[in-house]
Amino acid sequence: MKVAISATGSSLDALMDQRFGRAAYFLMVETESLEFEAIENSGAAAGGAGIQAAQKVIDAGAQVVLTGNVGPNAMQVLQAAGIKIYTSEPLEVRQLVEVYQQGGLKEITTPVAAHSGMKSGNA
Amino acid sequence: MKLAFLSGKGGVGKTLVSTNFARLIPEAIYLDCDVEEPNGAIFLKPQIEQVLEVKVLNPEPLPELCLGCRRCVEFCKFNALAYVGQIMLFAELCHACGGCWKLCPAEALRAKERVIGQLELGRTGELATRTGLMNPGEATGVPIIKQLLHDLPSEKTVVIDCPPGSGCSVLESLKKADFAVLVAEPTAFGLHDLEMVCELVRFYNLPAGVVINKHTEDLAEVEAFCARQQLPILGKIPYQASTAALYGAGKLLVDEDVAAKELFAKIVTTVMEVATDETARHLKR
Repeated sequence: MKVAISATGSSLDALMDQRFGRAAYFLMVETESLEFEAIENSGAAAGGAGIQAAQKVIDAGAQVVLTGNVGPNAMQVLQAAGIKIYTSEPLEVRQLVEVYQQGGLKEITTPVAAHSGMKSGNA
Repeated sequence: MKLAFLSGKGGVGKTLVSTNFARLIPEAIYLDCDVEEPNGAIFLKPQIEQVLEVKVLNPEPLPELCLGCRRCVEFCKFNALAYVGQIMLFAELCHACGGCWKLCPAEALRAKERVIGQLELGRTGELATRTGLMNPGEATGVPIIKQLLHDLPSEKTVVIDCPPGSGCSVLESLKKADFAVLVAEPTAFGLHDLEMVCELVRFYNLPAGVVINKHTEDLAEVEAFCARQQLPILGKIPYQASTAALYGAGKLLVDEDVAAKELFAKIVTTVMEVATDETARHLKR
């Protein structure tokens, strides 16, 4: 299972970023082997960041997204690709994968308000 | 003569100055280019004679023709398109550049009109008014401003009330202007933004002068800046409670207050003289 995790850094020790569209990185993690690839998302678009981010993780082959919040446009794109989205507090990526595999995360199907991720940095 | 009133900072008095100014010029045209929140009509109270829709061309995806090459998605700088098995369009992000359907090798996108706002054409006595109104949530008011500035009679005085800031919509509002009236207030923030718009008009080689609103004798930085930059000061509107009270009540100073009418009449004369001289000098260069 390949999961995409919004993250503040490019390693498994990085904290999850609560913002989806404006996260610094996406870590594409194989849940079985913990093999991963970091996709940079800094310099996220001036507008349509969520759409662009959703396209990136879809193209990288994500089946599941683990993040804090997802805005309306990103959610629409992720849902069109049939990707499930789970929400969490900002844990370290390695720990987050563990919690996900134990079934400890809540699935979300409704977005937060547009531009929520522009109000603050990582909460 | 086409005069653009701009300030950088919001709340400085662009609308106060431009509405009262326009009111004193026979057969002028007042354009409200602050299409996100136009408020000139609150003071001028025009009789609306005509409402025109403003439309832009957006792409309409035709999924049965799409090859999935994603050239359009990669081209769009505003991320208005995504590809998930088929093309998804986020119309409110589209800036209507037309690149996507020009690039599409399969004609799987076609241009489709979409309404993003409207123009209200009206009249306040012999003053003609045009107000641009952008629908909430739209990405850009530039097409509305373009349409506002389209087809202006060359012999008339046109007063262009610009949006705040110094971004795309301000640049668009300046495109037809012969002279810029920079409205400034004597605060640190006001001076900062005056410097920005000064740089902007210099970049576009547009002659300019300054009207200082909320003027008090003890704050002289704006005047010092104007002297350094050789920007003529076209008028000073004193900082006083009665001005704020009339403005707050949605009234034009020149209709209510004799002293204000004299002050604005002087500003009109000065602006017209300086603008005529400066534009003539500019043409010679």
